[in-house]
Amino acid sequence: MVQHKLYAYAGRILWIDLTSKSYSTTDTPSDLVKNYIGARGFGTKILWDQLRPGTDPLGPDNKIVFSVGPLAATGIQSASRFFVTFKSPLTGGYFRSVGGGQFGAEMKLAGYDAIVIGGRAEKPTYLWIHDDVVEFKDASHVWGAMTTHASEHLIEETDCNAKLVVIGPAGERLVNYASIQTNDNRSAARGGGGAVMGSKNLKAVVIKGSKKPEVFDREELNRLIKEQLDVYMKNPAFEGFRQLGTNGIIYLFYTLGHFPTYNFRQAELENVDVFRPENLLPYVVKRGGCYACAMGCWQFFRAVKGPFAGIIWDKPEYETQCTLGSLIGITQREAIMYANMLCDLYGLDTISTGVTIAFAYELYEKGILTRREVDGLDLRWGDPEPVIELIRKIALREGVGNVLAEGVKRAAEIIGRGAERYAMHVKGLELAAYDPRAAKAHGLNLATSNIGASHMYGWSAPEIIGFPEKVDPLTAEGKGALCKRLQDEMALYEAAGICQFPMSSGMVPLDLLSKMLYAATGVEEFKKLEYLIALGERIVNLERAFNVREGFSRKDDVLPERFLREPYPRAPARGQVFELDKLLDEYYAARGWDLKTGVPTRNKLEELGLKDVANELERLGKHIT
Amino acid sequence: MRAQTMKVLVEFAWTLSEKVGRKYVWLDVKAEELNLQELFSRILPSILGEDLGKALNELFLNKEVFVVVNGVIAKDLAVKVKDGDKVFLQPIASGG
Repeated sequence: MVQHKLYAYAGRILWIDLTSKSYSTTDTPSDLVKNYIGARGFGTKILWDQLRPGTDPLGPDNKIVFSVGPLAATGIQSASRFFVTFKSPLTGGYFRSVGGGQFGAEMKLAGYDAIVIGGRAEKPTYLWIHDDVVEFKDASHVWGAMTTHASEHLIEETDCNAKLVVIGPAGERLVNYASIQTNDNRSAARGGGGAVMGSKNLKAVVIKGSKKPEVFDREELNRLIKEQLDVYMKNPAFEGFRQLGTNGIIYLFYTLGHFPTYNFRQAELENVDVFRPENLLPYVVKRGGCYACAMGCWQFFRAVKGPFAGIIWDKPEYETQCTLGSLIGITQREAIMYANMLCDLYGLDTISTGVTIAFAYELYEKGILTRREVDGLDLRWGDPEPVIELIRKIALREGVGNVLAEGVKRAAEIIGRGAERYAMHVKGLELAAYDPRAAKAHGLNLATSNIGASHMYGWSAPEIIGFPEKVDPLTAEGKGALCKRLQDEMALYEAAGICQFPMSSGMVPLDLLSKMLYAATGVEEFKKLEYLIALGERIVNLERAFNVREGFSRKDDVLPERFLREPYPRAPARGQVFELDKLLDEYYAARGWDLKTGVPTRNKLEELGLKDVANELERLGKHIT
Repeated sequence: MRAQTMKVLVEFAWTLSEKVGRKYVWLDVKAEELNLQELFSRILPSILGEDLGKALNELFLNKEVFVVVNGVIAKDLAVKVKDGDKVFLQPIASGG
């Protein structure tokens, strides 16, 4: 195939083998561009091509793919996210994690659309990538260091303007939900990417670049950037994001029936007023934002009282205020801030960490875990002191922390005695801070997501915030089609590298995205909206095929029993349960997947240009209809 | 026969609480039910002042504010409010 000039793309993929300390580059294929755009799309396709089914997530054969979209570092707003794709040690399936800050743009400036890392280094290593030069550097001196400490060292010994991703002690010890952190306090936290890096003895990737991407039509792109900024400024959610980020919605979502409490057992929280936005605003002492993003939704909080007074750290996001707070019955804001900071320092996903600790609290309450089994800690709801201790134990795999470091699914299997009933996960990924009974398409997204219970796979704005159209969150009818649409849209925007916050608030309408993609890349196909929508669907189907190849099927598209049997306890969703079978049937029908197995049909795969994928599944003996 | 009196709690969050100068107000209304149109155009202006009431009405019409009645985002101004209901108002925000 003739390789045409690629505008906006860096034009190269970097392949690194840590075992042999070697690397190579290849041109970014134009068919990869046309079929998958970039970022999440690239990660998905590369992982599908590179991994054999049954690959050990923590073995040298697993790959970890860092990728960015064509709009990164072009001036387009909120478009420089980096995506991390790998086989997850938590789920055993496909995973994509997303991070913000400056790292994604720097990857592009260094000249790479994707960096694919395989193998296992003999000893602790970090990669120092500066433009065309790739160095394998000894990381022994920062092995064991907290993320911030390691970052400072590595920036100091490379380039003060470099950007990096790094793991902490949790990743080194293969905690299944270890995060990947950046040197500007961002995380690609979910799914255990930090453990995959740790398994490869890879402490960090430090990067610095100097190549501005050349775009197809700079004048038009500049005009579109102005148009995008205009849309931002006029959007009512814009100021809310700037003021308080996701902390602006905690009390609201609680009112709407989300923000679960006590390990998802309850929906009430005494003292919930502490999370009202006007009560959180005084904590803000500093603001910031990702590369080229006018929204700037970062706020740094300063703890003002109690034992943690004086710490200043990136605020706990909505999810974290729930998982390290309400899920354990904790409303002491300073304690949540401190727990959040510890997770960032050790390199832990705050969602999985909090849900796992809430799981331990409930097991303790039920007598399934005794005080001796939790190392003498008294896990009483609402008490933050054991949380602080458990975070350390999990990160260092010490005592009961060694079991909890596996995540709730595996920990429940180890503990036994009926513990699985209290393990709140889907496919091994701990549940995000929503109640599936209070928004059915959102619950369906959690059940069917190819990465497990991630709210960021198909966030149901029409149900949750009534945007762009208001949809009754409690009805089951029509939710299969809605969930499919939202997941496909999300996949498309993420293939372009766009942040979900402006996207789900309507700040990047589809026609504007299409124009921006065309002006940046000159790819004719990107002008067609239906082409783009099908592209998002292609990505979701390829992710599903990856999981089918690993043995996933309808049996894995489930929610914890609690949501299927126990009625939601208060208004507005009082009495609701999640009608799983009915909703799954509708979803599979909308997707054109087999109703019995949840596997994409050959027709659907071929319609999406994935005939080779259908052939591969058949070759492996997977039943496709 | 005397008209029935209904009691409704209206909560103001975030910048709205600053603008209004309070976090909530209890309404005693002589009616069995009313809709949001009446709440915004008549009841709230009579308590908070004409200008503030109008401003809230405009915010709602311009979709700059969430109006949540008993935990459900209100679709339009025809949504009914009854005795014992809770109306929650907050500037639009998103994320999660």
